[in-house]
Amino acid sequence: MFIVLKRVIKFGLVRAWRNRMVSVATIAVLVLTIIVIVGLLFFNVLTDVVAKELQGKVDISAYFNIEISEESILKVKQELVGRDEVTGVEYISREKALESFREINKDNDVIKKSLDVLEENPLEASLNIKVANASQYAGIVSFLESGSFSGLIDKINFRQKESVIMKMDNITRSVKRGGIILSFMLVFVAILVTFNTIRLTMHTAKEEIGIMRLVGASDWFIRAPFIVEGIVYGAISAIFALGIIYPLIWIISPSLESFLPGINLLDYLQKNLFTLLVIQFSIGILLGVVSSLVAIRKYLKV
Amino acid sequence: MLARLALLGKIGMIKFENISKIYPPDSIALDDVSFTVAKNEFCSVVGRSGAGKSTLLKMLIREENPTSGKIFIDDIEVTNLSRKELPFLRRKIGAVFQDFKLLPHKTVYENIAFSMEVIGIDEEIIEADVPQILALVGLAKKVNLFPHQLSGGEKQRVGFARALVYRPEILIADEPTGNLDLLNALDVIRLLLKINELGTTVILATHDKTVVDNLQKRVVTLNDGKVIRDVKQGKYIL
Repeated sequence: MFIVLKRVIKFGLVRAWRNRMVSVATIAVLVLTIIVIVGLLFFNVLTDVVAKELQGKVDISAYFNIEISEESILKVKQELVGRDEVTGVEYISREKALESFREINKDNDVIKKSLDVLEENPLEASLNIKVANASQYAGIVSFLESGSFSGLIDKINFRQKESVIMKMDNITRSVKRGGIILSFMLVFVAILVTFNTIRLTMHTAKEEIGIMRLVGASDWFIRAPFIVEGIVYGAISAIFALGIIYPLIWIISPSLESFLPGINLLDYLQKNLFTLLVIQFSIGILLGVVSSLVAIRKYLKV
Repeated sequence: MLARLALLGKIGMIKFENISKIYPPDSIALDDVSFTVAKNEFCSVVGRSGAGKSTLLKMLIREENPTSGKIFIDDIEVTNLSRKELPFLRRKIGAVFQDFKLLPHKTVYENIAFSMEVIGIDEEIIEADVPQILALVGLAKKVNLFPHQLSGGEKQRVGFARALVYRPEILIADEPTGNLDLLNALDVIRLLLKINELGTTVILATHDKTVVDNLQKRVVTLNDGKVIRDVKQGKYIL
């Protein structure tokens, strides 16, 4: 068994080396495919981060009637926190609201004076609510408006913000969906091109495979060297692809960070280097081996 | 499975039983051919080009299948072997092909070593036997060349070396002298006779009158796909 393994590995390596012009072409196509797939992976990570970033900037506030006690408001807060879609609830008491209102308008004398004239704090306490996905705001609003809390709440600023929230939700959704569709299309094309290149490579093996059968080689003894060849192509391609992707990201990462703060691609790459390598090797080797096997299948008839 | 076990033992007798081959739609290559080749016999199959000689030989290693009829090697029904069993049959039969069938991306040495490697023969034995057989066919200096760097006659000799190196019990040779001048052709024939003397059944397909007449061995003559003559010590007569 060991001797057979040794032989087929040797055959595969020798074949790849003797066909090196063809091997170079195959590896080039594989490298491109891997770069396309990994590039799309990064693109999807990027759109995810951007979408999250944007959604994090959106929130709605529910204002409670002045006479409502803090205790009741905190009860509502508890209820909200208990819901799955809610990612954050911040309680802003009347005093705090006034404080920040004063802070914001500290240069406006009219407002300052007006506030001083008032004996009582005119501002309402509120809850700032954030959810995971902008489309879930409507649900929260109707929960607050229809439930037992409806009497407590004066107004919710969702209606004013609704169109903006919905628009943003739509945009992030379409970007994501478009990204996924585009990814699938590109990946499909890339795989097709790779498969065809390898099929052409293997066409030169048609005669060889027939002869091997005729001198008594079993199917696996013939196939195995091609599998080895596919593994070699895949592994070399994965390494080359990383050799291109890493410097590329190293170059574009700073400029990307300057207009999309909070996104550090290089950092992401370095943290996920091992996973990325595994993905690249898997893509390369899987494509190389499967295409080889499919390509030589029909030559094995003799 | 039984056939595979049988193929591990010694074989030698070949029996063609009512073999017909019709290429669609109606081109008849062989028409009800029956004859037996005894173990250790030397049998020439002669006839014009297109008489069906090559087809008959190809059927023996199942490169082609008959339209009807059966082929036996001893008790093994060759025509009934499964795909998986074919390698075991082919390892028992050395074949010299009209078009050489050398592996284009392998050197002379590797081409010959390959037919031993498929059987799983140890590296030391291969390293000892291959140079020996190459010296025998006069190619000792060409071990590291590729087939495209050889002349027709040299390729033919590589084919011979490959067919002989694993000491097959049956040797089939399809027009082995077709590309050779007379002297080389006679060398090849001497080699075939030698192999036969050492205990190998030989079937030779040829249309070379000089070769056949020199052999003084059994001659089966095919014409239009039929056996028209079968003589113990025959000559080439059409």
